[in-house]
Amino acid sequence: MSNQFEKDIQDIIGNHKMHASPDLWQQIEPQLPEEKKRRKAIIWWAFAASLLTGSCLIYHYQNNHKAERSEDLVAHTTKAINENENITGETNLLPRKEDLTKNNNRSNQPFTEVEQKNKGNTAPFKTRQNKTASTGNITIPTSPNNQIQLTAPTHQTELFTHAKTNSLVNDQTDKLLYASNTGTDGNISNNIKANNTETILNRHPDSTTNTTGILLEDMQPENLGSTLTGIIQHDTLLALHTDSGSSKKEDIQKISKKGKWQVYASAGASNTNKLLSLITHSASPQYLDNSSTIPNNSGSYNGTYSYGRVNKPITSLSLQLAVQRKFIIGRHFEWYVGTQMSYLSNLQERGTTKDTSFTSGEKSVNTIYRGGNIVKEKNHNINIGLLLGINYLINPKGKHPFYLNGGLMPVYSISQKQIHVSNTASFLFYNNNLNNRFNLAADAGINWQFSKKSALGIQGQLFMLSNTKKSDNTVMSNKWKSLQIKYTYTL
Amino acid sequence: MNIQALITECIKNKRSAQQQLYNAYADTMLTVCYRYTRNIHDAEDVLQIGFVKVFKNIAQFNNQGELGAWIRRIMVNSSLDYIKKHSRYNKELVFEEINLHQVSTDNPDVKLLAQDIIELIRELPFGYQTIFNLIGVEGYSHAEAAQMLNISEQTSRSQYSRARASLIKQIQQRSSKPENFKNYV
Repeated sequence: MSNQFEKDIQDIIGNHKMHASPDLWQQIEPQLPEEKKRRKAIIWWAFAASLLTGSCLIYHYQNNHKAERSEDLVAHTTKAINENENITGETNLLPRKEDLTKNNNRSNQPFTEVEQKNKGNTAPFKTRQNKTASTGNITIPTSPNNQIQLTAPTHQTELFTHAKTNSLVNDQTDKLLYASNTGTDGNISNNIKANNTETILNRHPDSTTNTTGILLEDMQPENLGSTLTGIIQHDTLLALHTDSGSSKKEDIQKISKKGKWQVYASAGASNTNKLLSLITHSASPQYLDNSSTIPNNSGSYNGTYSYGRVNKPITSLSLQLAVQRKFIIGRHFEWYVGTQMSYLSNLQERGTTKDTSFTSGEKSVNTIYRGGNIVKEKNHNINIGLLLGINYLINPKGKHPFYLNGGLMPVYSISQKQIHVSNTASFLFYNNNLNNRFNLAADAGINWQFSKKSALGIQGQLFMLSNTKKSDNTVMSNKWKSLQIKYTYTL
Repeated sequence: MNIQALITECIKNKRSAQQQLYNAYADTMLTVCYRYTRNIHDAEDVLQIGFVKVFKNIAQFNNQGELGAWIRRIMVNSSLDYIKKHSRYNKELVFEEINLHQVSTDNPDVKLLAQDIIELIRELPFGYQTIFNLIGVEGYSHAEAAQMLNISEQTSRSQYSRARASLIKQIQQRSSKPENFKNYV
């Protein structure tokens, strides 16, 4: 058509502009293919996770061999441990009252009798009578006012040799746990920690396990869900957890038009003793159940024995793969259905401990030897589970969306042959004004896990959305930062 | 960033480039979508669908012709797909087979604002509105329009003739009474 009328119409309305809604781009963006660079990011994350996993496996393997050797040495102590106890049931690993009574009774028997009974099978603990009998021969150089004057390491070695010679410590005592010198003559005033120094946490055996901490999370909504998480807890020094998958984090803030598949993969590793990996659990539910004071014989030293039990994870490795599908129903509902598989492996120290403490002089030196019978045990746990979840979104496209979330996840542990069911409920509120440099969001929720031991968790999260803008004031990208506070109470 | 660099970046799915392209064309293309639909919400839905197609297929834009025209064709096709798909539209999209109607050669002066003309087009019966948009505004031939709407070329011609006459009548009426125009924006 080339009539003048049509030309006029085309001229007038051809370049006419209407104003599109400011949030329209946000609805388009999730439907676009991902930047190729993102794939590279995933590869890097996968590579990092593989490296971490591989390192942990190697370390795990090495520790396992050490554990086998250790088991040979202290085979007799495995009787003291109920091997059928559930590894996750922490209180089950603590000494039972009957065990303690048994130990106390034993300590009242002459050592020679016990030794005879256990001939060829070294008793885990020496008895008080033996300790008393072997005191009195140590020579400790002292100052004129009877204070320790020699250097601490020499003195420790001397004490240790003496203790071994006189059977004050048993054959498994191969390390000095802690030594401190508090000389009063001005020559020595230092604390020395040997290689195997540990901080002993005294915890009542019937206490529940509580964890609380702060989780710092860096989520990047525009990419494929790579997250970097650092966890600091009162009983955890440092934790690093990586996630990568094809899900998009911005799903928490807006509805996409189509349902889609989401894949999560995660790997975590922990280590207690060495800085090979990045998670440290130092639960150490240990307590002192018996002690005795060795009489200060010939002015040499006093001794105290302490018995306890250790249940301490050394390394743990976790791998998880989850697949879920999101369905959008109407304007306000999102449903999630998915499945997950996970593998958890633990290498733990379990068993009894004996700490032998010597005090020489007048508050001059206090030396503690760690003996006892600690066994390293390896556990594997394979879980399969289902995930059902629903999000109810109030005002999803507005400036102040509000999300209510509920989820149910039954998980069957193949290794433990039991089902854990956990459910969650949470809400998320945020401010979605793209004109702001920063927006805030808050999340709070509870989760409840049913199994042999139930756990109730409360968590809160504070997000901050930072917008990057170009000179023409259009939003280029945004990133979420979050601060999470979690509290879990094990019933 | 020049247009070629912008396209290259969009092919790589760079979000910043895609958003820049969107910002450059969204408002113009919303007008296109608005002319084919009945309300602004549907127009934005079509715009959203259209831009997703644009970014998914931008590698096929071979630089022959203007990028804006290419995007506009995608928006028009998306609009037609939308109105064919949704019953509230396709029930109204009826083209009667009638004898060839002589196309009016009236060429009245058009001294109205763009938004007013757009609203007059949208007030036409839905079939007229669609055919006038395709032929009178976008400049498609009757053969092309007929193919897009699955009608005969003869029907296209007759429908367009009626649509054009109806629109001219409306414009002439409204031009004499400018107070009848509302601010539709």
